Amino acid sequence: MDTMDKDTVCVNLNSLAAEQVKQCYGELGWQVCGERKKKFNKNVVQVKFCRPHFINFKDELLLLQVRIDIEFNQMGKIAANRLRRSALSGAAFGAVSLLFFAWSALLFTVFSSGAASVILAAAACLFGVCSAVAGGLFSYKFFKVDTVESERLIACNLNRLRRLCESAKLLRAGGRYGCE
Amino acid sequence: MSRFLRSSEGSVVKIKAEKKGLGSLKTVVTALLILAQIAILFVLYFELAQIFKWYLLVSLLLSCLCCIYTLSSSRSPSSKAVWIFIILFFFYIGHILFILSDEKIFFHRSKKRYKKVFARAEKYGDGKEDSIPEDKRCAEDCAYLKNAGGFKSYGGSQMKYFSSGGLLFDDVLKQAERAEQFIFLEFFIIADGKLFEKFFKILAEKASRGVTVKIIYDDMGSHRWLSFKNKLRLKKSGIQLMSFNRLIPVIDVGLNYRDHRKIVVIDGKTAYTGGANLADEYTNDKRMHGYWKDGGVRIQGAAVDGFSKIFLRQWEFLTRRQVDYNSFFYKFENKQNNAVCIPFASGLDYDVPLGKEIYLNIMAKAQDRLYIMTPYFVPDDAIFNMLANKAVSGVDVRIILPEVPDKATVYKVTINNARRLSEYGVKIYLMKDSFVHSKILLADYCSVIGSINIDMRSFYQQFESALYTDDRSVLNDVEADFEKTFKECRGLSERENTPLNRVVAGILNIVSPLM
Repeated sequence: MDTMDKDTVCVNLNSLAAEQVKQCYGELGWQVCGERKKKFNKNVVQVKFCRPHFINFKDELLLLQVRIDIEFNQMGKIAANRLRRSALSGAAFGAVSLLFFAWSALLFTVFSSGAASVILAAAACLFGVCSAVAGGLFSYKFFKVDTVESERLIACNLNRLRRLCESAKLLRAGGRYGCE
Repeated sequence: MSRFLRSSEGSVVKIKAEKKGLGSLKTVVTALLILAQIAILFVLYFELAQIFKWYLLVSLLLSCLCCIYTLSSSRSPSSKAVWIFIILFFFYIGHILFILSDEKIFFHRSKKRYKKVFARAEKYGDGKEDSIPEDKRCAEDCAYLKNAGGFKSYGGSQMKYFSSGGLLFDDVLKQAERAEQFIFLEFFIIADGKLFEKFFKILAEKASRGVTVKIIYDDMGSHRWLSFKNKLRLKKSGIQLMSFNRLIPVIDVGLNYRDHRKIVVIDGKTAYTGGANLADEYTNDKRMHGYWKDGGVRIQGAAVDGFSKIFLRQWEFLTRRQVDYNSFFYKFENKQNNAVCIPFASGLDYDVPLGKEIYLNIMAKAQDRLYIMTPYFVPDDAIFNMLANKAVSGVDVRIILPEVPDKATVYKVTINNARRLSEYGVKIYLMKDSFVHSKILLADYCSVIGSINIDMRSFYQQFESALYTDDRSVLNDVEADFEKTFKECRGLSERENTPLNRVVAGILNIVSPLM
């Protein structure tokens, strides 16, 4: 029957990961039947996969496919969140130092009333500079630590991904491949 | 360094979603209309209470009468406790809440009609004798199902277990292509999609060739997924279509009573039942909650008449037209297979919660093992205590639940109950990255495969179907599926046992008898 011949699945892929995803899906028995770039999002490519409806160990392959998708998406999340801490800390310290600079400027100009205000203004300016420097240092520290950590986590994910793809390969090689 | 950047959807791989249609809109509109009616009722009620100053005394008296009625009813003790709490806590309106929820009041006329349908169906014998098993435990179960529900135990039938919805529906479609006389389908959910189109192609072609095709679908289960356009296509193709308990935006406790059965009958020669509905997620063609684990069983032989009868009784009830049962029964030669096969159903059309009682009977007689696969685990005290006692007595009790939930609140209660049971030695398995939708009970001497969840809704409010069998080959296949699935599972971990989860589950447990 025609409707039972082929299964298809349409997937939106991050373009940087597309080749690796296609490779993994290939181990699951999927072949690329069509591909197009999304109009308004250059980062995303829509790929259509197809494979015969009747294949051996189909349910096992479907479970592996779910796990492979989860690994890819986890890697994407880790990469997306890699700069979060450093960005947040930089923004927080930057806001604080801006406040100090603004206060210092006000004390120098609008609220100027003798030596005390000048000293306060200078102190505020100094705090502003210290905040900016501290923010820079913390951001850099978080960036370094998070980069190393995210690389380690992604390496673990890639390892698991490799094992899942190998399992899929073994499954398909283990039995008769093709229509039942 | 990582090459993966975040896409606008926030993920590296995203399966393209199918169109949802207007189903969600209909649900929202219906819910809003019902809420509006409840609000109007309450406003009118409180206005009335202000006008009649002695109303406080009257409402207290009525609430007390409802409490006495509840205490003397046949509800489970936990259900009684919850209702008495609700009635007295909200004594001003508690009696109204209770009356609106009592099925004995609202289901009375339908139950009378069901009894007439059943009585008429009993006159049509299928001419097959009950099969009497050698195993005493099995004989007791057969006697129970016969006496409590009138279900015959058939011998001479061949059965095959399918460990996934995909395998099940591939076989259904293959058999449906060979149909010559009739095809019956009864599902809780029938949804637009690839599987629907495959079925439609075959059913429409068969209907055009004079094959009788009858479909029953539950209106609440299917209204979001089966479009009006496809309902029209089915009807125009000559397929007879009936919806069970139409979803209307009027306050009615009957809205809660759903047809949760999954039955397929083809030519009276082949029948299927199980957990899978007619929708793409059940065959993993659509990704909803990770990998979708389901199961079902095919029956060929005399026992098919059992499912034909269950379907036709429901059809007669819905259409209010008498059915000639004899024209759908099949004459089988008695093949040499001594295995017992009992198609049975449960629901409000019966006087006892048959699904729960047969589960309890089997659990009580299990001596070596009790394996359960269920998506929800909200048992009453009887089932909970039975499983706990069996585990303490040394029986190998194992329950497979999903790791990925479809309903967050029910899942929290499920996990909480599972955690409590694990303290008695019951082994809990969560299938990783999957939603387990199978409803299977496997004891050392028999198995039940069907649509009955271990929760209050399946036991007390929904119409269910299942197969009871002691066929050795089916038991072996089901056991092999369990053993394979155990390897894909993990145990309960601390992430399910956070203080917040325990607090939420504790609160939800109060109302779990009503779930």
